[in-house]
Amino acid sequence: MKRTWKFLRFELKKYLWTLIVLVAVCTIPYIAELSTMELSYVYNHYQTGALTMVLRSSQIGLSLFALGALCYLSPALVYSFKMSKRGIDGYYSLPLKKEKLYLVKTLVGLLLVLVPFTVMYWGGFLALVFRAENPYDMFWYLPAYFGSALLGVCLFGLNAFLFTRGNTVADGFVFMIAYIPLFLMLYEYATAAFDLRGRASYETFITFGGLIEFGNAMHDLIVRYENVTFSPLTFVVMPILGAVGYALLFALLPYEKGENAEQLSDSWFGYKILIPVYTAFLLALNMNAFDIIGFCGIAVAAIVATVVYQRKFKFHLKWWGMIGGALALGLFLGMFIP
Amino acid sequence: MIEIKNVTKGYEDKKEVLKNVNLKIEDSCVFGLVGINGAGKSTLLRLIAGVLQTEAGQVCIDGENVWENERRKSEIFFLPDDPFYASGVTARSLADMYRAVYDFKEKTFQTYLEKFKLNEKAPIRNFSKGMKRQVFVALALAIAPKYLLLDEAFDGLDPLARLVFKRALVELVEEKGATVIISSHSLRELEDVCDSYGILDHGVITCAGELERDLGRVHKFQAAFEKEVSPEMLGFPCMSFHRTGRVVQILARGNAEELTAKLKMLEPLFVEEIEVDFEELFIGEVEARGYLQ
Repeated sequence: MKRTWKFLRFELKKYLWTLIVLVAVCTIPYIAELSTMELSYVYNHYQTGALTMVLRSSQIGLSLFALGALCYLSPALVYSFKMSKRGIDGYYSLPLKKEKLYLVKTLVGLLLVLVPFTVMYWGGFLALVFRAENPYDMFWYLPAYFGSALLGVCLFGLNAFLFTRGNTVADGFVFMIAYIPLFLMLYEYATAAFDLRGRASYETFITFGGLIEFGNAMHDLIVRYENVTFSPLTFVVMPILGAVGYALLFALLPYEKGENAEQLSDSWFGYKILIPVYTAFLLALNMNAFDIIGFCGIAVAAIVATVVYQRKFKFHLKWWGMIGGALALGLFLGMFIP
Repeated sequence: MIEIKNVTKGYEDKKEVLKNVNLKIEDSCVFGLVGINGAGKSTLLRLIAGVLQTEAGQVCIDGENVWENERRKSEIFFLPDDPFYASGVTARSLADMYRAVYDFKEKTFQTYLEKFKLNEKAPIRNFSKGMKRQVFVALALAIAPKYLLLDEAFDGLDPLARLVFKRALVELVEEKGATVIISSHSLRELEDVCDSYGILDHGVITCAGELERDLGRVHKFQAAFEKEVSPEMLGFPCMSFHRTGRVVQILARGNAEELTAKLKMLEPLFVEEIEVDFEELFIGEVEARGYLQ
């Protein structure tokens, strides 16, 4: 354990400059904006002539946007070592079990997310507090911080798992980005096929959607809007996705092969699933406006994605079978959409 | 002692790089691991270092499996042919990393940095290939592990740095009882430091043993004959046979006197034994296996 602590200390020291840069990039423009922006304006009703003070955006969304962006950047910063043969040689030969190595990397990754966000968030809070006229309901900054931080921790966990499914940094990014609308697409299909429209908000099914939904609600409370709506489902879906991400990241470590670095990203959570799922559901969702050009477009996109995956133009017959099967499945699923 | 027991390892694109490899490497020796390109040397070193997991079999140190074994891995330092360093990393920051996980001797590190005239605060990316290698050599010697694994050990090092490194390796083995496994194509360099060796060919250890003893068992003759002589006429199996005009060079195993006697039966104009070095032994072995014909 002593070795793990010492390694954690080293890693923290190693990422210190990165952390300082991230804090500066997030905080300085944010504080500058909050210190100088107009917080409210007087609205003159064109019919009644009544004057009303309207609060401008609290810009809390900017801090949540930064949090979301950090959740995509940080996994690449801390786990990219496993995407190069040299990195694997360097880190896997150290006298540390993989679980401890990845635990240290995960903790550092979380700090790279939470520290810049925290400094930015509370820096912005202070910038507002110290302004002479502050019309906002500042109480909501406290629950907004803890709620956002929790959602950030969850999103980082999911992205950490998705990124590490890639065997190259580019594939890792592709996986994180490809999963953003994946669940929304499945929800879209379910709502269209089974008439579930309106049961949940769309943001709930985007991987970072929880941040948007929660951020919007908190913003509305801060600027004293009435009729604030928020689906508590966000705090169910995101923690589940996050917990699954962390659990799978560590549970699959024994199956993590060092020799896979720089090779094709063959994970079952990567292209193997993404290409057929996207092909089938995009086709199914577009059946209403089905035309041969649309079909060909989706088929070509599936082939291009397979070329990106296989890194060659001439790929094995089974991949053609996968594309064909996905297209057939798409046509079949499309039949259920009224 | 390092024991490699029935180890098999394959990659997806290249099936079975190592096939049922069995090898024992005694403590306190310098072991030379040689083989042609793609023979599986780097894979074997990465398995011993615990970087890769075996598909079948085990890599054990003193009877304990190395895979995910922190205690055993703390006794190993692996210096790959292309060592890892992140952008902006300095010799100092690398030393800090290894200090976190190994028993690191700062004084030794500084000594070798001075010997190699390296600036510990300069980014490694600006160093030449040889200077980068020197940094990692200094790190390896500062860790002074019980088992030092060196892939393409002398690659990029200038003759002076090679000499310093070889001396340090001998010191490590003699004074600290370390075991050094070196994979290299510089067989003449290996011959200077190795006690024992193993030849890896297409994933199989084809030949292993004490270097001095095995060099003593292989004999190289140069002879000239009036008539044309073929390998079949020699009366003994030869590892390699090269003819240039009337002069032939023969590499063979066995008793030197008996081999000379058989050669003399072919009435040579002259016959003489020439000293065999490791490179010739290796080439003879690979030629005997059908390469370079």
